[in-house]
Parts: sequence; structure tokens; C-alpha cells
Amino acid sequence: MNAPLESPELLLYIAPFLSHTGLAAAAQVSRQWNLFFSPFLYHTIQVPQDWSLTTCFPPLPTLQKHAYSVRFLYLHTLKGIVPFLEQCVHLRTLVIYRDVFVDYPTDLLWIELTDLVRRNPLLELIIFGFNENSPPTPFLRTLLKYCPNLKRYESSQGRYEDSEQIMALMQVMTKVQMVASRYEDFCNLPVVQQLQFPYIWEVVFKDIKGMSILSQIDLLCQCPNLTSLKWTVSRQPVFPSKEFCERVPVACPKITELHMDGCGIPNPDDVSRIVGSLRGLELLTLSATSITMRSFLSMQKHFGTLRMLDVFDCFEIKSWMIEQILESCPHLEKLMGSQLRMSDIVQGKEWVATRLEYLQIQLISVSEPEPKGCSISRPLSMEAWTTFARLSKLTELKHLEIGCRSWSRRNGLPFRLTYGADQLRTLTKLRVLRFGNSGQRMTVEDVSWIGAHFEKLIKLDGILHTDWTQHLELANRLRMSGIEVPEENEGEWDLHEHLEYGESDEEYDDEYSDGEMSDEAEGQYHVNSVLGESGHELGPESEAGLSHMDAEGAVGNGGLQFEHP
Amino acid sequence: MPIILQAYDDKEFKVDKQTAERSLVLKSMIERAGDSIAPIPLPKLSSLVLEKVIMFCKHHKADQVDKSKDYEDILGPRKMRNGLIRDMDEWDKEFIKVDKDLLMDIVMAANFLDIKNLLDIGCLAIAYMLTGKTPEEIRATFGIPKDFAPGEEERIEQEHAWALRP
Repeated sequence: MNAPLESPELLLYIAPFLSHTGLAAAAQVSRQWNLFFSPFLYHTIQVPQDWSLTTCFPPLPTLQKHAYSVRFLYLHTLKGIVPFLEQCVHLRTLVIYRDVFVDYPTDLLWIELTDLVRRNPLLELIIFGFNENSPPTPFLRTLLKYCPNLKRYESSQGRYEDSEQIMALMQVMTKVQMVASRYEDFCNLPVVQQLQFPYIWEVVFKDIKGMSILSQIDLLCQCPNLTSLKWTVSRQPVFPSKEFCERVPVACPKITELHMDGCGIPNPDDVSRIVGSLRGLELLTLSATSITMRSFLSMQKHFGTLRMLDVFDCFEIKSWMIEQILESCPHLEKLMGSQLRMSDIVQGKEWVATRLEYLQIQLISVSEPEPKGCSISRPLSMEAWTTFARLSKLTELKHLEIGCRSWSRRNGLPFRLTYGADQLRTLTKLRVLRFGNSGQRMTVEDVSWIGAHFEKLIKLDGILHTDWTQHLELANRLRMSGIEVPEENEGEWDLHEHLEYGESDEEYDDEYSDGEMSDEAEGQYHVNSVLGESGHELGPESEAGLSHMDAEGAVGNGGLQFEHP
Repeated sequence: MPIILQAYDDKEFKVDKQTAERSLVLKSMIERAGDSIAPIPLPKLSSLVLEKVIMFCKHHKADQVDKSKDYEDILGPRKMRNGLIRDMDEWDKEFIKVDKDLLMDIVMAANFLDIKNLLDIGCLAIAYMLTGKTPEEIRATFGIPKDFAPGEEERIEQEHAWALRP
């Protein structure tokens, strides 16, 4: 009996589990299967600039035929693709890359795009990467009039030159829930102050030019339901923190998420004032922002509510502060910090942050590793034992990263059974484990233990042994038990030793995010990870015209899960 | 008080309430019936399938209800290709290693009884069976008749050819 394969409902349920090739094969099985599986091939279409030369891209007639199935459309060009665009009427997400402005006459381009949004009333999300240009007023008015479901509007690198256009843009803002502006220039045009933005709950202002910080504060104060604010400013001589602290917490009482990572506020104490002025923050991202001891004191105010805290690369956040965070934040699910000395753990109390799902902190030891001829180092043994004991209480952990993010070696927690690693058998949900280059000297026994006890572990990243041959052998062993161990070659490791922190950072994009991106690109399925998209701004992506990541986040937040056609 | 489930061959199974309530259909029946619940006939399910379904529900009875969300998160196609079936419990993996016919019946039962976790792993298992097969192999495996009109097959093949190219 093959009943499930005859039931339309179940065919539609099975389809998202298939890859592109799987779908293409399934679509050729029978008439019914063709009917059910084909639309999934066209759910997401990413039009590359050279689409007509790309063999793995559908030809124009096919695209036209299946245009009604397209929900997510990413455009790198309009050249030759317009007949297809004319058939798209079910778009939910539209992403326009800055490349489109390169090879198409601007006036015509805006006419086509205006028609496109007019035909797509279901549009929920629109993202632009501009090239120092911006959408003309008629386009914005069309968007306002024809797309009542629009939830998110994002743009980057735009340049606005007329006040009528700003007015039209602001009117679009009165309807949407999420707004992002990155590296845009508002050319000192006056900001409309009499409008209210009642639906907006998320704002991203990244390094806006041509609009004073005071005007930006004015805008924020027009969003009474704001809950999430991502804000960075670039090289401002003075930051009006007094105005912020007096006005924003009153005008936007619902703010619980604040991301000010990499924020160029000149006086670090302003960050402490801002953090201190808000109440009950649940998410706080300050990585790579210069903050002071005072900022830590302001942070303490939120210890009772914080779910996610990112203080990675905040050099004033000392090891003992991290220890205090772990001892005092009962709701914490995600913590990213720079360093924690195991000696501070030994001297500290039990951790209350037992809900942690994601922990990224370099555990460091100042004790000598085992001396020659000795199998175990006593002080290190004590530190490691206590550290493993603390970690073993974090039974919700999915991602544990305890090694250095830079590739230079720094001795850390020895992940060995003889040091008490087997206490971690309680971490049954662990999916990713990262040691980095933390001077491990694991044995076959330790590695087999990992393979046998972490049932959900899919990836282990790092150098397993200081001896390269032994590392390779151990890594292979893990791979055989089905755990991904990224390949590294020895030469690169040496090279990495001389790199600064920041340069090697790219390699460490959140594993959730890169997974999501490819899934989305394939248009099959969307994954919304726990706090996954928050607090990770992809700098270089944004500069290139678009933050893919945020597009991704938007899709999640907007609830645009996969829908059956 | 145990709940009694009757398979179509009249074989009865006693299960505890928590186990039965993994099925949203049974859950609402139990809620409506209150304490005096009569044996529930499930004429669409053979005792073999019902036994298997009960085994699954029993194993997962203590799961948090939103655990199904976990599966949704991990069942992206890319992750499938990477062999992330590892993300299912070892137990689930073993559980779903059944022959094709039983798998089909389990999926139908999961759908009928509304047990989302079971439907997920069942459909994933079906998707695995489909993956890597040519249309002809799929038809042969599942006994699906080829019902294309003359020329239609070639047209469809040509239409989706792009998706099969590297």
C-alpha cells in the first residue's frame, strides 16, 4: 500500500524534505507528482546577473510558466527577465540587489519595479541594496497603496535627495513593523515629525549619514511599540546620551532588545548611560563596542531578565565579570564573551545560568600543562574538574565553544577523561563543540567517548592534539562516527597564528546562520534558530549592499514559513 | 485509568493517558469523554501498525509538546544532505527503520491520529527513500503508474532539467 504517496496532503508534507534534485526527479514520476512537486522547485528564485548563461537556472519560458509559484524573489538583474516578472503575482519577499542598477536604464527599471509591487499585494518583505540612489516617490506611493501586507522594509546605501521622497518613505513606515536603514545618506533633509509609527517594533539604524543623532532619536520616539533597537553611529564627535536617556525609555517603554555592537559612540560612558536608562532588557549586544566598568554596572540591572548577552571583544569585560554573569543571570540562553579564567570558576559559586543553549567563551588556564613525564598537572586538574562540573549543569547547551577565536594557541580546558570531561555526559543536546586551538592533547579514548556520548553532536571544530599527525588521526576517527570535523591544514594554522583576532573571525560565522542561508537560497525550508539571527550583523555583507542575514531574520520574524501552494 | 485502543482486527491495546495524548485526535476524544471513556475503535489501523504507533508515543510521552518544532528546525534539505539524520534520536532512527509498506502505514496513521513528530520522521524517511532515485526507480519502488500522455514526459524532463545540472 502506498497510500501516503497518493495523498495530496502528504505529498505536500514530504516535498519540503527534498532537495532540488530530489524534487526534479519526483516531478517526473507521474502527472500528479508533477503537479505537487514542481511548485517547490520555483518557490525561491534567485536571478543571477548572468542568468541566461547559467545552466542550473531555469530558462525564461519555464520561469514564466511557474512564476505563480514564486514566493521569494532575489534579483541581481532585470535584464531580459521582465516577461517573467510580469507573471509573478504571489511574491512574499522581494530582494533587489544593488547590481540591478548597473545594467538597466534607471527610469525603466523603476517603472518595472513599480509594476511588480503593484501586482503583488501579498508582499510582506522588501529589501533594497542601493548604489547611492533611492526609490522614487511614485514607487514608494505604489508600495504604500498596493501592498497592505508589507511588514518589513530594509534598505542600504541609499541616498535621498528630495523631501517629497522622504515623506513618501515615512508614510510607508507608518504601515510596517520592521525597518532597517544601513549606511544611508539622508542629505540633511528635514525629518517628518508629526507621523507616528505605531506598528514598528524593530528598528535598525546603522551608521546613518546626513541625519543628526537628535533626529534619529526623534524618529525612535515616534515608535511607541518599539521592542528591538539595533543602532550604531559612526564617528560622531558628541553623542546626545542625555536626550536619549530622558526621552527614549519614556516614548518606547517596550524596548527589551538593544544591539549596539560595533557602535562608534565616542565616550564609552554614554553606553553605560543608555543601558542604564532602559528597563528589563532581554537581549543586549555590545560586542566590539568600547565600554567601561560602569557599563558592567548598568548591565547588572538587567541580570534578572537577560536572555542573550554578547560582550565578545569588549576588552573591559574581565574574566570575573563573565563569572558573575554566569552566577547571576537565570534566564540567559546565549552568552558570548571573550575570556574566562578557570581559576575564577574555581573561586566562584555555582552558575545559575542553567538555561544556556549557546555559550561562547574562551576558557583559559594559567596553570602549566602537564610537565614532562607526568601524566596530569595538579592545578590544571583542579581547575578542569570544577569547570567540567559547572558546564555539566548546562544541560540545555546546543553550542559550546571554549577555545580561542583567533588561531593562536592558548592553553585552555583539556578535554580529556582524565581531567573529568566525562562529567559532560549530561549535555545530551549538544550539537556543536568548538575547541579552536586550545592546546588539546586528546587520546583515542577521549575521542571515542565524544563519539559515543554526544548523540546529537554534528560538528567538532578545533585542533585535537598539539601533535599534527595525532590530530589528523583523531579527526578521522570522529568523522567515521559521523561527526563533521572541518579540515584544516597545518600550514594555515601556522599562518593564522600571526593574524589578528578580527581577520580570522569570518571563519566563525554562526553555524546556524550559514545553514539558514543555504536552505533559504534553495527555497525549500526556513529555519528559525533560537535567537539565531539576533546580534549578528554581517558587516561585509551589509557593505556589499545588503545584509543577507537580516533578510533571513526578517523571513523568520515575519512568520513567512513555507506555505503550500 | 488506562485508555483502550482497538485495532481493526479487534486486538485491544491498553495505554496510559499521557501516551495516548501524543495523538491530538485521541487527546480531544479523551477530553470530551471525561473519566468514562469507552474503548476507542481504530478501524483503519492494523494491530501491527497500532503497536508501532503506541511504541512511539510511549517513548515520547514525556516530551515537551513543542518538541516537534525541533524537528522542523533541523529538517532543511541541506542538512539532510549532510547526513543530519543524526539529529533524530538514535531511538527514532531505529524506530523508523522499517520496510516500505509498514512505513507507509505508519505515516498514514500518524496523519490520521495527528501525531506531528511521528509524521515528521515518517515523511523524512520517505524523502530519504526518494532521494537519489531516478523517476523510473521511484515508480518501480512505489508501484506508481506512469500516466503521462505521449510527449509529456519529455517535456517535463526538459522543463526541470536545469534543477539536475550542477
